[in-house]
Amino acid sequence: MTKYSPIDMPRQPGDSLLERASDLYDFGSVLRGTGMPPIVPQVVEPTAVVDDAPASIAPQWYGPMHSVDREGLEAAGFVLPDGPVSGISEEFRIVKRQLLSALRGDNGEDALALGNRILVCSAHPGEGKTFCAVNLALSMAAEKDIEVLLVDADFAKPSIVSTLGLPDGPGFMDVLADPSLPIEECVLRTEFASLAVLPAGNGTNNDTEYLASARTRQLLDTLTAGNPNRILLFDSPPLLAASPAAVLAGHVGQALMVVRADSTTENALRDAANLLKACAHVQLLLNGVKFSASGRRFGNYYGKAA
Amino acid sequence: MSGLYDEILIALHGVWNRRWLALAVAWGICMVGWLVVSLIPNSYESKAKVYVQTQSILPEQIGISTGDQQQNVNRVRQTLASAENLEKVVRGTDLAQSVSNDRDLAGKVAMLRANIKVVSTQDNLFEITGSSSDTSISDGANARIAAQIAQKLIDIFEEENVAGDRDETRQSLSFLDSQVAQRGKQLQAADQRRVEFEQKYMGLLPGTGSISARMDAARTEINAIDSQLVAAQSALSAMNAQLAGTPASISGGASGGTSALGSVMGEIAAAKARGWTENHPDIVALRRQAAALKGQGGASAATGTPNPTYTSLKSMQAERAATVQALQVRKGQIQADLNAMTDRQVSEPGVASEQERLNREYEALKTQYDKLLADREEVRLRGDVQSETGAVKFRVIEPPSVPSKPAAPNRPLLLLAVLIVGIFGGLGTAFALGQVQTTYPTAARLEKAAGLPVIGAITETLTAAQHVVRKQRLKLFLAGSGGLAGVCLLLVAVEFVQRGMA
Repeated sequence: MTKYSPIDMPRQPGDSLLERASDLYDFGSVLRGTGMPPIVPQVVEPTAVVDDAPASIAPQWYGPMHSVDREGLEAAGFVLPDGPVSGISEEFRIVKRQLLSALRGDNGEDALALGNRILVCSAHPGEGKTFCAVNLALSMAAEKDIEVLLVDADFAKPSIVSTLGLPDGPGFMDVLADPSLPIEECVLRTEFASLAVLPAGNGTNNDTEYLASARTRQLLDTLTAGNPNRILLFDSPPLLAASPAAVLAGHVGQALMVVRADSTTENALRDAANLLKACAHVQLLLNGVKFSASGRRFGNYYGKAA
Repeated sequence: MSGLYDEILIALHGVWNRRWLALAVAWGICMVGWLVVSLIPNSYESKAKVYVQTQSILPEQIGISTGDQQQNVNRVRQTLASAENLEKVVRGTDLAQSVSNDRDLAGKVAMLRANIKVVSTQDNLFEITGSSSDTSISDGANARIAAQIAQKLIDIFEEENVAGDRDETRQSLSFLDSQVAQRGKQLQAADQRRVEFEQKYMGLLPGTGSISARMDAARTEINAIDSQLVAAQSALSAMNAQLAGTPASISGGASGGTSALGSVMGEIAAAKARGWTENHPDIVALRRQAAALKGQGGASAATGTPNPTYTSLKSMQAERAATVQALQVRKGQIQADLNAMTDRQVSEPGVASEQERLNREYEALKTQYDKLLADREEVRLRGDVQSETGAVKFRVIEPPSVPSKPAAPNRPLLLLAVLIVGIFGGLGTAFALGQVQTTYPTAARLEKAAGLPVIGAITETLTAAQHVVRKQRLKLFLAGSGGLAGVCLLLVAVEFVQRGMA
């Protein structure tokens, strides 16, 4: 595969098909009414990236497309974007819809600030953060007009790369620790065009401090600058077991706390919610539900058991 | 209602999630419970029925009512558990083997008190139950001891009823005897005092009664003697006159002198009878004639025969004189006594009342003495009736048997109860823990409790390996649950086998 980035492509003004067509026909006349001057679509030239100023254009990924471990993922209960409709995929679709509508500001609500940065966290380990984060990422990858960057922020026990069956390499923490390392080098592209993964990288003894630094904020701003359709999905260490998640909460617009049904206690939930105060928009996701009082069972409807 | 139904389902779901805890708790409770049940000593119980028949014909005739007898039986029943009786039981049964000092004995008595039961099911039917649960001896020995206790209690019951009556009779008799003896002595003393008094004060006046009565009697007698005396004196003087008029001898027919003198004397007497005095000239003449005749025929006078009339009159006169004499003497004597008495009465006025007091005392004592004597005889009769006719009869309807199986504890039932308690204890613990340790089975609950929006609920997904593990765990859980029931059944079976062997 060749390196590809739309920003590197040569561009001739007025050369695009759309621009040439608009010369012949005023597409917008129906929308804006007759008699109004036509608006000619223009491509804004990207400004040059300056080191000390936030980049206005998000970096694009150019690494090779890695194929994921489909068998492993399916066996472990993950939902592939092009897989069949199952109960769990429907459930994640519902979650995904809510997250997306929150960041876009549907339903009469304002769009959330930094709503496209989503932190998946939980109180204790083993409650399903990685499972939910990967599934959400896979589910979002099926969306037609957004791209997802799944960031593994669980530096102590990174598991996203191995879960997806991607080659391990330098990651988030390496970028934070080494300013000279461009983040584009680390991002792994997958066979699903809109899904990219940023591995955790090699953990340091000062993960939390690196996360809390201004560089992190700058880096994250860079990642989403000018591209509101890019969603950063963070998988994090347990809130009550490590501190990075609490710091990350300050960088994200939405926090999704995974609660394990029949297992997470009220005390743990309250404690964890207190640590998430830095994030204004905290939502809960109940994982591992074994009991359904309303009889909500997806999947059967589509002919395949969940 | 659907809300309640959901709540119940959720609670059950919570219990199911903690099934391992529930199982562990159930096992723990059951193990401890079964241990405790197995340590409860076997208690053997021996039951006997005694029928007490109270006779009513003869005893009632002499004043022993059936009610009295019933009361007696009840008294014995109530006092059957007295320390004294229980000591008898201990000494009379195998319990005595393990008694070495008074403390042991007291301990056994206390144990017995809790282990015996006397119930009167009907008026006359008594159920005596003895039980034994000594851990230090074998089950068989316990059973034997229970039977012995019941038997001994029956013995004591019977014995007390009969001996109690006899004792009572004996006690009453001895009391009455002593009272009778005492009263007898008192009576004797009173009698003695009375006699002494009479000797002292009333020896002079014969008769009975008080002093005044006797004095009255004496006075009456004196009056009577007086009149008798007058009569006797007049009779004596009449006799004297008659005697004077009767010649001492009658002149014989052969001697004229005597007959002449006799005729002269006859003439004199006739003249005197006519009322002539000695100075009458006829009489004087006749006297001279008589004197002459006497001088003439003195010798012939001597030969005259004594007059029999004169002789008899003479004796009669003597008799009358003696009577007068006797009456006079008697009157003087009585008069003297009376005078002496009167003198005493004047000098000692309390004598009369003293005598009355002594008499009263004597009379009172005598009355009581007589009554006591009668009572004693009655009691003796009663006692004889009770003991010899068997006023209360005992019939052992159901003799105490040696029980073959323990009366308590009902081990199979207890084992099952422990199992049930264990199961419910486990379930309860799981449920309580679910209530204390809040977790969230459903999104609705989570949202309600946390106050944060819940945007989704992900059904648990299991990999094939997890499925296998879960199945294995389920099997393990079922095995654990089944094992619990199995152990319970095993213990029940062991219990029955033991009983069969015992």
